Amino acid sequence: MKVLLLVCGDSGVESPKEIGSGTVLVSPGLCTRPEKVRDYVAETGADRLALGLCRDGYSVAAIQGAAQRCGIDPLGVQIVDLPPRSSDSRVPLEAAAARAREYLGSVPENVKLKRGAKIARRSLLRGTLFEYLAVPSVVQDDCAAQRGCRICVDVCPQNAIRIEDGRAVHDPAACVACGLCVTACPTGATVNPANTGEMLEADLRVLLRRNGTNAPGIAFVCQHEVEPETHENWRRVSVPCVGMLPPHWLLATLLMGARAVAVVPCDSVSGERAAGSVSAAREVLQASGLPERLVELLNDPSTPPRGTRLRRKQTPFPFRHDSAVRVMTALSEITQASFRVEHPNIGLGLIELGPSCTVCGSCASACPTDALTYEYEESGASVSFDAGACVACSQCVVACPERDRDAIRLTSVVDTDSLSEGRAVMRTDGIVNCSRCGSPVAPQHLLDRILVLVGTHDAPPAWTKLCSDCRSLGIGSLS
Amino acid sequence: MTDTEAALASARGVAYQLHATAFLPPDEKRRSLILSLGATLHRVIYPFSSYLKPLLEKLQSVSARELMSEYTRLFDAGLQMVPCPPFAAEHLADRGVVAQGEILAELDAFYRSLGIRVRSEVSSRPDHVTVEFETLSLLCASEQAALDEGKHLDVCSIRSDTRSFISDHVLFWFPGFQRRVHRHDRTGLYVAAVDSAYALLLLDRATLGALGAKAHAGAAS
Repeated sequence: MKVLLLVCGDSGVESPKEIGSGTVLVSPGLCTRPEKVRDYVAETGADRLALGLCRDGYSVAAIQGAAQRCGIDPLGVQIVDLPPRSSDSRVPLEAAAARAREYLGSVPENVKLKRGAKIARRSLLRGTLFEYLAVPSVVQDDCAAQRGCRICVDVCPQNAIRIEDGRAVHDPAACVACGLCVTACPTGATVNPANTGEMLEADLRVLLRRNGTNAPGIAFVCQHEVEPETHENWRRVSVPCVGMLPPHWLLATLLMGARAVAVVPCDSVSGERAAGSVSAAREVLQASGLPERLVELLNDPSTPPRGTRLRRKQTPFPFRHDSAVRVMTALSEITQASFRVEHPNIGLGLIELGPSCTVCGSCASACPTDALTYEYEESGASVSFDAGACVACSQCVVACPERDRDAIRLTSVVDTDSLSEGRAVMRTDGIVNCSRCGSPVAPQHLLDRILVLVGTHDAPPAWTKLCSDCRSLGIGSLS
Repeated sequence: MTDTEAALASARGVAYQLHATAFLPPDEKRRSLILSLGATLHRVIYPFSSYLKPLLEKLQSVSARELMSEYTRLFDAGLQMVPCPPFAAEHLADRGVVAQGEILAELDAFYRSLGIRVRSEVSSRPDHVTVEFETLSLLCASEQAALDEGKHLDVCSIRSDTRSFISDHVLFWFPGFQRRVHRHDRTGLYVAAVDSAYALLLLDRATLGALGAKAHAGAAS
């Protein structure tokens, strides 16, 4: 990927001298003449674009149109608003270039259009009729909707997702791209290419570099909110909505070298989710022997960060849906402490199967991450569980036909000892073979339960010992 | 800016016409028509243009003979079953939504309400992909005419018809057709055609969503 960082020369800011493998150019009058982008892209052969533009001095539609004219995906263009005479713009510009480098490209499902603010007579020829907004799309091959998963539907505050033919379908018109469905998706099938975890990670790497002992705090803010003024020792990082941040992303930011992590609460309903994530992260810190103030809900943005930098882990912490285990394990290694924290927002879980479990395997069929798996062989049936893969989504509990009899219990918990145990068989049962042909019928506990249920309706007990083929043949001949 | 919106409606109509042609039996005349419509679209920059490139490139690299034989194999093998029937009702019936006859009757009624009669040289069936794309192209032309004449209420109503035809009908069956073409096409050209057609449908729905509010404002005044 060749990244071009273009900075408007009228902004008067000091631009970075270099951005790794990319090119930095300063162009006077870029905000008012966005068509110049085309020449610079042609000159440098860039395929990713980051721009530093004068705050309130440009049209997003015009910039995106100019990018599209030279074959650059407008959803991947990173724009940094440069305040007048800003003395501290180099790091945000480098971070924007890093985000641009991580952009993987969009599909048509990701495009939402908004009428540009200024519609000129030649808008269509200049490509400035619309502003492009990125909304999430679903990689259908990875989606667990076919298994009954409805997490994205339940979490969406805009009712913009529905399940159709076992597929999650997004309505871009209703979607506000808050990102809640992206981080809630247990399989990582929901993606917003303009705001991926990889881009956030790249952003943070730049912001937390070269700060030595004087590391900044990271304050996450909603990009839809008017940015509050924060204390100078906080570096603000915009995310689609702070409600999308799971607790392990907050902890991973600490492990990457932030002095402290704050979430600036937003007014939307998603604010509750953000508060839940902060609360879960604080409980983990406390349980691991670290000060819980390292992660906080920043109700007063003028407060400075109150923390000291943790020993930085060199291991990368991908900001993915399934990196919670790596983050918790790393925290446990740093503090040399095992911990167990129960919290509804923790994003990890433990399953217990009770005596009334019939080993039917419904829980495993519904599990979107294969934390629960089901083996069914002639020798027997078994359910096994891997705590490291469980995201506490509770689909297994919903699917269990015996949940009212406590056959399955899910606890939202992180238990570092369990995380290291790997997969273990939780329950086994023998298989009953057909009394007529000898082929397998079902696990013993399941048949016992069926017998109890049908027994109340005077059904012949011998039926439960026949396979479905023999049962259909033998109707009438059994007593 | 009514003239800008009229130009946009015209470009959208051209895009639908291009795809309607792409799903007809290929010959030199149709190949030239698609390439010239593609060149027209590249002069304007609207969200769809960039998705068209692979189709135009493939069209220039695949031979006419190869194209015809692939078209016949995929879509039009006479009475034989074809792997990718280009008919909405086949795919909707696959999904167990409604009976084929019911779909054809509904489409017929919709076309009649627009004053359209299906030409038999295109297809004897109203649910052929080409007929549906021609209909969308016609709706864009009507929108353009209404914009030129300043009939804002008509613009609203045409956009609403177009949007619901795309969302409630075409996008309901087209993804199934697209999946089948992906599985069976050997030339890559029809994969490019269904992909750009799908992008066109999604982006046109988004375009109409973004334009909707403006048309209402115009109507109110």
